[in-house]
Amino acid sequence: MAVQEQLPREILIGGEQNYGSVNQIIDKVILNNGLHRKWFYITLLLGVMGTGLMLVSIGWLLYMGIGIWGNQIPVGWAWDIVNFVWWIGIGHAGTLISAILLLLRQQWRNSINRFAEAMTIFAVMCAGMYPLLHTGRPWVDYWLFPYPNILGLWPQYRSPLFWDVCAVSTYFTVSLLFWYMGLVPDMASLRDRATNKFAKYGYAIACLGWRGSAKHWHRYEQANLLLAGFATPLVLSVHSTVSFDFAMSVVPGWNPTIFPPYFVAGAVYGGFAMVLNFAIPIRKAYKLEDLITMKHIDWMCKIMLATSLIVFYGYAMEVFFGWYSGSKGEIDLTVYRMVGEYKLEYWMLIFCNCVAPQTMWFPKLRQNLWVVWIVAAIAGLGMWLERFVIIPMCLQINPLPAIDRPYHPTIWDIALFTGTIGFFTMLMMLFVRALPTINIFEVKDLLYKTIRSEGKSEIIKPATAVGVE
Amino acid sequence: MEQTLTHSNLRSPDIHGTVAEFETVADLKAAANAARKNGYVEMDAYSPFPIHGLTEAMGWKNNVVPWIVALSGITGTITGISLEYYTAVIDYPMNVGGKPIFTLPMFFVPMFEFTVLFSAFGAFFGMWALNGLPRYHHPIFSTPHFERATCDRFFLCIEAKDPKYDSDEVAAFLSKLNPLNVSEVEEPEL
Amino acid sequence: MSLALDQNPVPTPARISLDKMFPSGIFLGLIGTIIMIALIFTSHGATKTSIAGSYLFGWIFWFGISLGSFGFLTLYHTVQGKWMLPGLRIFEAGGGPIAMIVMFLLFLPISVPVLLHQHFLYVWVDPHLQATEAILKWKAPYLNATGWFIRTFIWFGSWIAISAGLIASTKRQEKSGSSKEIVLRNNWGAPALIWFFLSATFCMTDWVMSLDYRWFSTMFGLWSAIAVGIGAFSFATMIVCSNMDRDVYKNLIGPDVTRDMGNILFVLAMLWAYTSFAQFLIIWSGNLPETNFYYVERSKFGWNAIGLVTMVGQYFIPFVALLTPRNRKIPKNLAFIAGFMLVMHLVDVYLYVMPAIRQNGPRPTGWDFLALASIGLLWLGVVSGVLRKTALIPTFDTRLEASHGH
Repeated sequence: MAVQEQLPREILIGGEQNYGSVNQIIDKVILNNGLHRKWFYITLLLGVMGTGLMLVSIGWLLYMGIGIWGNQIPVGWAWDIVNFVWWIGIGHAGTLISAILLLLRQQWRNSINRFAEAMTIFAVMCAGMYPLLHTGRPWVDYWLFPYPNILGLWPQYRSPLFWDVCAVSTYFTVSLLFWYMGLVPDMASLRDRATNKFAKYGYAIACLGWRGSAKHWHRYEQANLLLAGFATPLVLSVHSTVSFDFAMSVVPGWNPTIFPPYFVAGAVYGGFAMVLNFAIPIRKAYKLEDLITMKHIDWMCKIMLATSLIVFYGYAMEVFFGWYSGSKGEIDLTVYRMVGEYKLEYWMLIFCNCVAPQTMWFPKLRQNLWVVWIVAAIAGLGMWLERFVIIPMCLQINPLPAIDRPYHPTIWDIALFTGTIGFFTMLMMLFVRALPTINIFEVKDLLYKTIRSEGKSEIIKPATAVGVE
Repeated sequence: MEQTLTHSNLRSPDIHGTVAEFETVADLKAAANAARKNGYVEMDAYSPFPIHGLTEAMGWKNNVVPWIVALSGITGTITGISLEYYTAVIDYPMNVGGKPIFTLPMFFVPMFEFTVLFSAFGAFFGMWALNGLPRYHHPIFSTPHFERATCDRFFLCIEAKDPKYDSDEVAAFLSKLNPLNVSEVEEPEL
Repeated sequence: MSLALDQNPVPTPARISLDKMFPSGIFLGLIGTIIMIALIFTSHGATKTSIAGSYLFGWIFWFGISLGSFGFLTLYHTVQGKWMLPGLRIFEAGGGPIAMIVMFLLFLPISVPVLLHQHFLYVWVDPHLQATEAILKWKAPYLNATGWFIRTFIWFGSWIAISAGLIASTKRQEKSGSSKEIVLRNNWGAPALIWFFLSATFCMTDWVMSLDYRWFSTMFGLWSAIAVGIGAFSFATMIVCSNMDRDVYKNLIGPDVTRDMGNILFVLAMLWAYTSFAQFLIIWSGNLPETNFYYVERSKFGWNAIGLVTMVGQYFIPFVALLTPRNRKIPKNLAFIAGFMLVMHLVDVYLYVMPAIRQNGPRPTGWDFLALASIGLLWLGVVSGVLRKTALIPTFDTRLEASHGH
């Protein structure tokens, strides 16, 4: 019998790196101002403008009330809830990468997790805004929480909307803690590298006096693993709870039992697409190719493909069991989706989420960054459309004769959505500027493991000089 | 404390420990193992990333964090369910959708979220509290080249509180372990 | 180190406990199965339904392990997880062509009567009912006897073809050592995995969900795929871990691998709880007459006690047990947990199949046990017969040997 060949080992760190050069590659983005070229400032400016638009939209909304939106009866949940679900889904990729892949000990997560976690936090901030504004009187939003009050009332625990309050606020808190904890050792590293006095003081305070003690690392790793352990069921519960917002009702099209896993898969799909949309340009602009390698992109594409297939399965089940149920509401809805007023949105959704990602089957196309970026952008659109197809569309089809006009968004719906995209972009740009985009200590850990498994010496002179200019 | 304040410039400063600087993980691990075998108990290692097996090499064990997390998780579950029970069953029972007043399937999600939230707080704050962070200053920071402990160097400190501690002996011992250099670190003067 | 496996390993008798099942299991199983089949065709009325129900329950349980094994086989070739290596041979035997052909043959006593419109088990094949029930008329394009029978052929045919292809490729690789075969299987693994999910969804819709033709749930397919996954993985884990002190596994499977196997069982238990709870919560909360009777049936006459048992046994106990690192490290403990999960899976299958057949509560009859045991013995005999011919640790993927060599 012949010697068994094995496939070559995956390369997750490009070039000849040592611990110091890893630091240099990541630090330079923050510590070297000259690296930020015109496009950075242009994107940041666009983000700031978007944030302005968001603030104006919110201001006008607070002044006028939610009548400025296209929401009407029966379509009481429309763009605001669509955007809420979309944004919160975007965030899930971050938790998936940082928590689930940590538990599965997938080493390729190490250089993209920080980035994805930051995205989670910013996306949840954008998401949380919508239901708070949707209440109509955001200044009494504290009513959402259980506290003893003179009205003698409590929140209704049987309502999935209250579950949502719990799930989203817990999710935001836990993601923030997890993210901050990951940042502490890296900020300590920046404290020791920074030359600018203000930067040095800032990182020194934020890193809580971290000194890299082995005893600290030991507890830190324990806490990190445990946090990852809760974050995993948490992320499942959050999007499942979001799906319960619909599934607990009896609106046809809103209560298929497949909703929770199918929402989670969709969230991961859209989230990975967003990670790719941001990671590809940043990787190029800051020359991070050695740390975010093509292998990482390949993996993310594969996850996108896998989740798109689950989503596809969900659509297929909806259609098949919609028919198989023999219930009039379900059948009417299935037909309405395909040929009704919003058929364009439905078929675009099928294209974006079921057809376009099939290109990711081909390794050649997964290596082509343009194709990947465009497919990811299409996926983002597709996930938005999915929520549109679920939310306003199921409400629009209604047996009441008084329903005489279809739902259309107004300019303020669009303005607020564009505004939140700007806000998100601004936060991402500031994050890239101020905090390490790639987890320094985890990449070093990976480097150490790679060196050890190859039986090489730890003392390596980097082949390419990556000096701090 | 007062004594230190008044007599600080008269007496020689307290010694924190003797620190050796290493270039590789392998050297640091070997040094930690050697120090433990040599009978030192009070030591700490400093590295830019977590090294598995290093605390074992140092002969140090600590598993408090998982217990804190377990306890805070249970506290969370109990808090969640008792909040729900008091407010929705005792204080203001209401019939919603013909479901029972005490509806465990529907009380499940908030209960779960409370559990996760409390556990996360336990893990996060418990870990920092046990580590004694945030902390304004630490004597180890005055070690030469210690800024590289967050970059590419590995340090092992045998602390002065060790019963076997003797400056010269420790320095001689550490010098044999292939360090880049060995230095004595003082407690900061107050 | 792979050179050490130069000769085709000659199977010594009883390398592992499962090997003992080979000839005797088939004989005993065959006798029991023939008795069961004879009883189904000689009895009448309610007795016939009850005995056929027992047979269906026993068959679904063991078939589920085969289907789950098939799923893990395709999953292995898609992601090539090291944690599947110890059980891979069991998955190849359980989900392989021979076991599938046997399961297909054992299903004939159920499937042929459907084709002949004998409605003792599947009520909807009754031509009279089909002519009068509006819902059956609507569903007729899918839910008709001929289509159902043809689909049975399609599912089994596809599983046999896919698993035979994958196993043949591993055999070729063991001969030639070419890594081209890895790439080939990797390319086919993902489509095969997709096919596993689709076929599991629809075969379970046909064979289990249609026992009550009115009911439907979009979660059911996914739930079934996870449930059969629990069956297969806990079976394989139990076999591997309980034989860990035998020479075949002794020095190859380290604590890192058993930990991963424990983790997978943990994840499966979580997913099972997640899908079951979500399905229950949505149906219970919606309380729609189209679907709620499914849980109403399962909450009367003591069925709710069975539901509680599965909730505790299939979720809470494995959850706590597998959370403890010690239990994932010590093979004996893990084998015990896996065995417990397999038993709970059995209870779970009972809860999903039986209430549609016996509404009067969970009253297991002797026939339930006879069917379960005889089909089981037959299944185990076949699987062990297949396993005897191969090395228990795959020789084409040397990662287990490699990780131990250092």
